[in-house]
Amino acid sequence: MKQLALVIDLYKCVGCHACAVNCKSWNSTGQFGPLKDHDPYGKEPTGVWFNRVQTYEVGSFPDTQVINFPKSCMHCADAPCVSVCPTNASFKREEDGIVLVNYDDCIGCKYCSWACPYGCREFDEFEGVMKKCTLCVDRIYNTDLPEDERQPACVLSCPTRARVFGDINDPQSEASKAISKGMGYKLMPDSGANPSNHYLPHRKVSVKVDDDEITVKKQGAIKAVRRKVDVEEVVIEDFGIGG
Amino acid sequence: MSPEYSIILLTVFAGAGQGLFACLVAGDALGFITGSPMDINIMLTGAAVSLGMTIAGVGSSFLHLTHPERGIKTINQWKKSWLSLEAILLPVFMGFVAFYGILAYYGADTSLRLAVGGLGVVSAMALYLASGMIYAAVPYIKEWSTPYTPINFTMIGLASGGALQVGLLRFFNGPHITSLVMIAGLFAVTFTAMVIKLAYYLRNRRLYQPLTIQSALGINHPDIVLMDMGTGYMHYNTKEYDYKGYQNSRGTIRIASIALLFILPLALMTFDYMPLFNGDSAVAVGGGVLALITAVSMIAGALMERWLFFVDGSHAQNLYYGGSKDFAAPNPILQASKKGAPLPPG
Repeated sequence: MKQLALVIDLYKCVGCHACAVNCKSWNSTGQFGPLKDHDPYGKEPTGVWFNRVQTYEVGSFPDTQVINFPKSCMHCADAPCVSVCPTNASFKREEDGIVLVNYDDCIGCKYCSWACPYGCREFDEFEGVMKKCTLCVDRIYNTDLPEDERQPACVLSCPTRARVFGDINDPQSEASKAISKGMGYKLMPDSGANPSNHYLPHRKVSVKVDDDEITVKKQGAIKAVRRKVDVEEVVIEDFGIGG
Repeated sequence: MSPEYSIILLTVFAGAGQGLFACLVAGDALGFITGSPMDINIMLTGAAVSLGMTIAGVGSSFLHLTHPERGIKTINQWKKSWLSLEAILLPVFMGFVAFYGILAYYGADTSLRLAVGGLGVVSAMALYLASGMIYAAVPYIKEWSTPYTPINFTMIGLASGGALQVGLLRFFNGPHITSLVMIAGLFAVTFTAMVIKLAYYLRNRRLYQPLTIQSALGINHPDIVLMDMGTGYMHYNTKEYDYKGYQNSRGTIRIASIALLFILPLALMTFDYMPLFNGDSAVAVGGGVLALITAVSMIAGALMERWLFFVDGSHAQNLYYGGSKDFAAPNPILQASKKGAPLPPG
């Protein structure tokens, strides 16, 4: 059975949010109608984004790694959101495995979002229906677009080509090759949802920093502070790449 | 989880309505067996109150839905979704209650009325199961995903409904033997409900969360800290699942809910109903008022208990936002920037 999905390389991702922005842009103007925002230029902007990039710090200083972590709907093989939907508005397509929401059937009970362990469902408060990543189903089969643009918006916009789109059940597809070459893994493998999106592991980035390059200074003695810190401020001088 | 007030009202009011109807039919059957039938006023008032409470609950649940006009579409999915089953069973139960009331009003045959009542009780029990399983079937909220959930819903619904029914018996001077059995039963149900609820709270205190931030991100390192959640302000998923309200008062609310739901009613029951067991069947207006206070106290306690049920739930997706209870020590840099600490001098 065909299963379209994304393969995201955490090593290549630089956290530029281009995928999230292009996702929002396409899905505000595509065939699914607008994705409105509440208070977009105010102090508390909020709205529907199908794709969100979060940033984590792994390890403790000075041995830390930054992980930029884009997350959108996993299009799970055993999608828990589909089985709990009381109106069958949330459904999984037989032909390509994309999980979609029929906005005309959704009653807005939000039960599917409770059932999603990844927090990838987004409630549109203006329309009162649950929305989520469509894997750009209105792009990938769109014959009006040139053939090389029939891909999800996030994949097209990624400047480092960290995202690969394809059928993960077809061993010859780009996505399957990326998974098998790059040791792709699934998030929360024990959740029982069997997600289709895969992530390629982050590899350790090592930067040689000698001990004399690290200066720990007491608060008050710092001329330029990058963050507001009320403990010790750590300044790395001459952060040379590659050492 | 953020508390959904409309669902809290639905489960508490409809639960009490179901419990009231179950106890009403039980009292009716008891009167039939012992040969001292219940007053028709009790049946009519009981059915009306039960129906009214269920309708109030359903009306409140419509406030939760953004598109209740599409509710009819839920009838197809009863095989796979507990929510769909609940949506089907609610009108079925209300139909049985209304039919029972009509049969009582027109003085239909007792066996027919009891048969309809019995079917209504079966639908009420199925409804308890369906309502509870909506929450128990969510494996990613460990606090909910337990058989305690439907059992709690059933016991608390039966206890609060039973308090209403005993109040009716007391107010309309119901048959002595029926009153005695119902009061003893209510006492037992309330006490059992309290034991189960306390066991549930104890269970949640030592809960094992198998999903971790490590498995959520697929990064095997003990120290993972969220630096940036990707948006400048909260969005649907953080508002819905990472509820931070009334954190300091939750302990007080928990004690108040146990007191109002179990301790006060048990004390009031002992005080109010003891004379009945001494053969004193006279009903004073004061007795009816105390029974009413018992029922109101139980429903108020049940509302608090259901609120706590919601806010206690910790969803697995909070792992992505560092909102898990088991999360590592918070990042001092993030904390400082959240507090808005002033720039150091210099």
